[in-house]
Amino acid sequence: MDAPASPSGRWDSLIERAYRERRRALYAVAFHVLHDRGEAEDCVHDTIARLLQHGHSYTEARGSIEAFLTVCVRNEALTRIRKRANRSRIERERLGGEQVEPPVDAPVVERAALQQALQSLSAPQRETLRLAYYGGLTHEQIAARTNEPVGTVKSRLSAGLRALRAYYLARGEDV
Amino acid sequence: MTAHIGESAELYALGALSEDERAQVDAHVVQCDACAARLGEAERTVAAMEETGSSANRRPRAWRFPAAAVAAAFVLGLVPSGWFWSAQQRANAYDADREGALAAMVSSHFSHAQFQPLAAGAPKAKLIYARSGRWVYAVAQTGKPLLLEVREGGKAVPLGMLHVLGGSAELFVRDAGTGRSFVLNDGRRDIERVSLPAR
Repeated sequence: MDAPASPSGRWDSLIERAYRERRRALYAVAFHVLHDRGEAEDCVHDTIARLLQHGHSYTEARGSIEAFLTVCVRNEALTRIRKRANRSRIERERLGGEQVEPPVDAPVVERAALQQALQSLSAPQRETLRLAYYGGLTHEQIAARTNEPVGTVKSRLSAGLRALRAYYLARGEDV
Repeated sequence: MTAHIGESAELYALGALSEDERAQVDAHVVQCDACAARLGEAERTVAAMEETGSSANRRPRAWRFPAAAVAAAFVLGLVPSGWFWSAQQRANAYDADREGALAAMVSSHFSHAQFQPLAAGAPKAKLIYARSGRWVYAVAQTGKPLLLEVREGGKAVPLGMLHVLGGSAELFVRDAGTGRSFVLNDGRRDIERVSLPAR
């Protein structure tokens, strides 16, 4: 994330502390996407190092620094896996091999508790959210895959995530 | 200032934006607190999804209304008898209303506030409310039905009994009136209260 540097890096010590305390959880976030121990460790380390060295977009208005780091790590992991998928696609095309689905679409076992949360969404919201969350696809890739307009995909993702927030809040969780 | 990020907040948190699109969001949220707050909400939701997924002992409860719970509460003397039939009537309407409740929550901006205890043993409870003031949603961590009331001009207006769903109780109220102070009553006395900021 090439975010503008935060003024005076006043959040850096908080980021470092959150990283020390939440290291294992952040590693799990990266691993869920990458399915590779070494790469997951690199991903977390690189994310934190870049936030501290090149600045970031965290401000107080954003709230939870842990959630901010979770999303930073996940986005970095997704960037890595998209690049990996792109490299293998180019490689295959050069070698004249047949086109195969990118590895991000590998079947995943949906975790039971989250599956139940997703049941609170409408079917189109749920399916679109799954393609983003489990499939790691961008909104444009989802639109291409589902033959839906980009605007529709964006609305479903946005409304779907807000519906999930309502679900968690109603269960008494602070989100 | 660059354009507000709108739906891109949720797309950013879900990882559905490209690197360039993310950079645009980053550039905006450092100078716009409203968009940073929306992005923060989306990030906390994704963090909750990650946690829900990785912890086996946190099971969400089903979204079902057991009408039997109100009947049981009545038999056990937890609910004043006058409440029983009206609660039962509302219970039947409530299931059908739930979809509408979630739809209302999704299509509007909302905040939440914690109830403050007025009596010992008051369960943890919160009020989720539309910033437009259109609806409120009370949730309490209790298996006992409580009565939600709003204070309007010094008098208490009952809004309804919370519906018991396993270990928690909840009530969605579509039109909660103009009062900004809400109390939960256990049938004998007010046990907790929350005052919302003035609109």
